[in-house]
Amino acid sequence: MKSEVRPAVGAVIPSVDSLPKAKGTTRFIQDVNLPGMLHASMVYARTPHSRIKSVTLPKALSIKGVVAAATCDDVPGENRVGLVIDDQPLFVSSVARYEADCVALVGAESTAAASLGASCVEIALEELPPVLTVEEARKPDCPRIHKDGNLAVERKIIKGDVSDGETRSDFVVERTFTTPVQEHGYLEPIGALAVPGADGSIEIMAPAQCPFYIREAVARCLGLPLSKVRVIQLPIGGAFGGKEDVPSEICARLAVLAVKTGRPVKTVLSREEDLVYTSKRHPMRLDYRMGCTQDGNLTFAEIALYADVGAYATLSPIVLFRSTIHAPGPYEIPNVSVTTQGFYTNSAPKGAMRGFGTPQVVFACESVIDELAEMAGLGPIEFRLRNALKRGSTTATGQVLDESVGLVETLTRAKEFLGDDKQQFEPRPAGADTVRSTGIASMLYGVSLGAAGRVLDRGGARVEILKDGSVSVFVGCTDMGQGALTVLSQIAADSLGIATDAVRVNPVDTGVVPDSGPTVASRTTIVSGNAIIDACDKIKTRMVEVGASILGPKAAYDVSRGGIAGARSDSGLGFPEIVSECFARRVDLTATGWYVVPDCRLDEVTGQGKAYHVYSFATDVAEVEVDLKTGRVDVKSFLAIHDSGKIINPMTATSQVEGGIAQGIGLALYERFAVAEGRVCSRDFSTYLVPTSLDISDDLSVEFIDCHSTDGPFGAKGLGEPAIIPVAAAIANAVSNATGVRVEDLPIHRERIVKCS
Amino acid sequence: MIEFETVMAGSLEECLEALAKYGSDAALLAGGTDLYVLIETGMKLPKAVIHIGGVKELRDSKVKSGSVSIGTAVTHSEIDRLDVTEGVECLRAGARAIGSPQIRNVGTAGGNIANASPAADLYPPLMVLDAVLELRSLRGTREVGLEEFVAGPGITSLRPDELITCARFKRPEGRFYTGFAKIGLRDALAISVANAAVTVTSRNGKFDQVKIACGAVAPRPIRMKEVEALLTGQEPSAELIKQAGDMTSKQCDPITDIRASRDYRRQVAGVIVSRLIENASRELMMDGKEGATDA
Repeated sequence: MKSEVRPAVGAVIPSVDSLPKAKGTTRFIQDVNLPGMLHASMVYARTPHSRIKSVTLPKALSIKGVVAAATCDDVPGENRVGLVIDDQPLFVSSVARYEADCVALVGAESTAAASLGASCVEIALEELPPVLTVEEARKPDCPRIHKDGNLAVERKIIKGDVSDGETRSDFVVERTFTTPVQEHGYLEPIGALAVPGADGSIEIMAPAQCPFYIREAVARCLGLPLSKVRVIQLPIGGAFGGKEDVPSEICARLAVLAVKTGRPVKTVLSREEDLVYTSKRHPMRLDYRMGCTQDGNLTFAEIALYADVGAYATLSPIVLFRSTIHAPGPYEIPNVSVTTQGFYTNSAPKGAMRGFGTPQVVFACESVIDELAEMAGLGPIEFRLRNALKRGSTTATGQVLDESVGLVETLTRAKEFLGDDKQQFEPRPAGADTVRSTGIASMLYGVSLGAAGRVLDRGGARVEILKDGSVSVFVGCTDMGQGALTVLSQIAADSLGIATDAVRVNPVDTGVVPDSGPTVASRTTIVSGNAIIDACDKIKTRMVEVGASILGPKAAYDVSRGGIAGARSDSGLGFPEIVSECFARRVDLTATGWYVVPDCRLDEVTGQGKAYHVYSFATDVAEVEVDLKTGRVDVKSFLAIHDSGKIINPMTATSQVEGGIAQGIGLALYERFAVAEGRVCSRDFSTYLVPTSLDISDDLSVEFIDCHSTDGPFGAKGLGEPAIIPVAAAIANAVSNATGVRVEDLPIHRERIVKCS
Repeated sequence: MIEFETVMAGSLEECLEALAKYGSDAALLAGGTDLYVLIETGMKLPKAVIHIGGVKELRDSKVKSGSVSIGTAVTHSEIDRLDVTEGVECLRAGARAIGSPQIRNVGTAGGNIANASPAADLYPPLMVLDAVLELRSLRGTREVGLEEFVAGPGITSLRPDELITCARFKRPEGRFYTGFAKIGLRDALAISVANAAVTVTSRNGKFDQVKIACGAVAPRPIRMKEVEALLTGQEPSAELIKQAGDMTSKQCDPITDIRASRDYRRQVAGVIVSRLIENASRELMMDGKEGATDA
């Protein structure tokens, strides 16, 4: 028998796709071209709110190289793409609800001809008064963006009695916060390619987070059965939620033109189009009232959230569900009321972005927690520890947490790191006009889809062991740069007791794996990982049967070595031997694994119940230096302490968190999406500033608290979104501590710091 | 599709001939960091693009009898490391403050000057060095001071057939302080919200020659003559330096745009000028050290 294989889970393994990406050999959508392929350009309404009277194509079609165009009249199936609420047309037929609402698609022999053709499509329209802010949208006499009014989403939690909680409070903090639109800022703009099949089927290739969403959208718009639509995922140059729902719209439009012309049709958005057209993080107004006793025990939280959902609801009902559940923070609070409302406005739809409605509420909640701590005379860490959710605690939705609650450990580590819980949070003069201080923020994050997405919360994997002992794996969740291919290879390797190199995890192909729901909610490791384990278990059972026929009835699978162990320690069949034996006997070594996330349900009225199956936790510590004369904020050091259960790959996990810190610094200090009169002003990266490598602290540290989750593969929970969630809150608290003025609005405005100091 | 003629100039002569031929229909290309953006956004539609990056005499920099000349096609990275700019820290720091390493490796002095952005980072340093530009055409050569050259955003006295061949300035002599400072909204790839450069000498514990210039605070980069006058002949004091900052703010007449408000620009222009003057007084009069230092 072979010696033990070094476990892959927990090992430092570079991302399997990092070398080709570094060398520039990865083939992205931009590099994929087919013979006879048309290039397509979308035609936008170009005005925030209008009634479309006519769309005239002849001038565009007369441009040299332009081949065809599609409008709502060309859609063979339904002209709809609404994901949760059915409010969005594929091509605008009557009312355009934002600047980049799509009216038509022009296909041409070259990208230049397509964009010239698109600019020549004549749109006759009547401008309607635009609704630009939530404040306007809420007014009863406001023009309606959709026929049922401007309120798109409403969510609630009611636990205990907040007025009773307030009576028992010695200290109450009441404050209003605002958070901005945030753009995903992925390197690769959205693109896709639709290839019509001779048999009436269609194949889509796209760098998309959610191939199964695309399959449904394309089938619906073309009026095809799902079986006739195949979606193959291409390498994704970053997504962060931005390639969750938006690619479905684009793919369905390309599919319409592909069917109309019988030719492959591709588009890749320009950066300007991507910034103006695609979804963003929800901007919010957050009204918080929270109280505590003299001893620092939280008594109540009364929270009202108002979000701008943009022109269409898209994913807002689910995003705002998450905001609502997470609004009271990772604390035990006896009396809670959260009401959340999302309003339509004439702006780009707000959708999924890393954290999915959580960074906003964590910023508000953690600011108020710091203020209450100060009133109660406790250090910020001590106050959090006193109220922190622990094993056995009850959450705001009345869910009892029975396992894997590592919040206290993250806070304890933060305290140990700082060495002190009060002085560290005081302002410390650093120069003539500069002052330093520290801030912390904690969070919880419900992993996977939870009660709002329970029907979709399952996933599959197809594992095939080939005759040379190598393993081919197909899963239903995508790698968008977060390292799923690598981590899932490690899980497959350890499930079989073989080397990671022998495993190849393939990009998603909807023709091969069962519908596994979306690649979102930090769920890939858990869902695809568990599905792989299930598939491997099925195959191992068959191998053991074969092994038993040779080694006797006590034969068992040996995951530490790979292969079958016999009753005696020296007897057994190594992995290659048992694989050969199975092939010789014509045993099926393929299996489809399946994993269903344990059920979560909430009461529709009170929002009470089990919101998510398991939670990740984190505490971030930020040290900043503030120039009081210029308002410049410099993040001097940043420590992120995460409980995401067992870390499958410390290297990719660390880089995942470092990326989250960078993006969180952007949300806290830099990113300002400018819009005037319903038209986007930030149309490039010189007017929408994201932090560069010089703006990220040189001193980033990432630590993990290994708090196993029984249901997770090898004990893992989710990490992708927790990485960004507390970052802006920790920086805001640090800036508030340094300046003595509470930060109420993100991004932290230099001009406000200058005015206040 | 944008189409234009291209001229790959091999010599200064060829540049000037092409300019004479195409005049205002021509665009000069060196690094392309501004031109490509202008073409892409349709703000410039040249009939001919003349590439001058290959012309040797435009890439020269030299010192001749104390006068430094920097060729128009010298890149920002080169400005920061050329022997001839050693000790002229305001110019080096100004070049370093531009864009990113990639932009500095191709963007050129002449491009930054001719583009005439109010926020251009090379203007304040060249202005406090009293630099002149050499402009040439087939008709002849003339020299123009920077203040005379730039009239407003993108507006210069450059004639359609003229080319900036070099910027020339006298190396400051003796003991002096020179520095540059910039406020951008981030630490790289940031267009200045305010920038400033100073050169300062001292005599008998007093400010002697003081030159201050600021950018992004008016339609064009400006010399702060009143502030210079305020400081000249005065002993440094905290009060005086604060006054210099306040007076700078008053002399500024900036706009509010997507990057910053008028008020903020005025405020921070004053802050960076007073910090530079503070550095100058510390370097020249307190420590008694020789040499030039960054802000």
